[in-house]
Amino acid sequence: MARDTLPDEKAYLDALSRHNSEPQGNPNHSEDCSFEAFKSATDTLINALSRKETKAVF
Amino acid sequence: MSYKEIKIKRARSLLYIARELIKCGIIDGESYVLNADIISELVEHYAQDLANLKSRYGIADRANSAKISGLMAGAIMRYRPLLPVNGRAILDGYDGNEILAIYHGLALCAIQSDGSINHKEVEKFVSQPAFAEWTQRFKYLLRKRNHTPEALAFVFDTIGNFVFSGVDLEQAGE
Repeated sequence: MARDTLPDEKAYLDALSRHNSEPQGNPNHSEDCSFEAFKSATDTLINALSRKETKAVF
Repeated sequence: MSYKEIKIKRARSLLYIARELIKCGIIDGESYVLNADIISELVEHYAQDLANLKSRYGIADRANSAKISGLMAGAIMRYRPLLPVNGRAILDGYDGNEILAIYHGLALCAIQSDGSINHKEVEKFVSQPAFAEWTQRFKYLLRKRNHTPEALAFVFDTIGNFVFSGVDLEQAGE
């Protein structure tokens, strides 16, 4: 069963090829995602941080 | 707080943040899973690091929450508890562990003197236009460049002291 999840040689070579084709170095631009999606996700997270239970958890 | 209690507390806070980040979609919960055994090793490493840090700096009682944030971020980067569910997962842009380290640290640094998280300060910080850029650079540093847990603690110390207001870094110390 576990062997089915192991990548074959081609998967390693494909990953290496992808890696080689990408620019390396410090990213100078923000992620290409919509601000609305980010805002909605962070709002949900902020709500989670505001819960009383965090007092005991953290 | 005993050694065992410290480990349990940090495992719980890490699980809480990971769960919420997955729930709100900031971390992709379909493709990645949080490994329980790695969490166990991670908090053991953290607790040992904390004891060493206290000895090094002569801290008799509790280390503040910025130090906890930094040591935990360092341990998250070392053990990477979020794993892809299969060996063929493409990891380009996969930064769940970095996100986990950053948000866990921010939450800890925002704890007020009554023990609750000053979520409004976190909200103010993440709502700034420059936050996305800052996060990108922090993730790059965490994943690809060199850092130490103490250096990361200093990042969180700066946020806790000079960015967040109305927080108490000593309150959440351990």
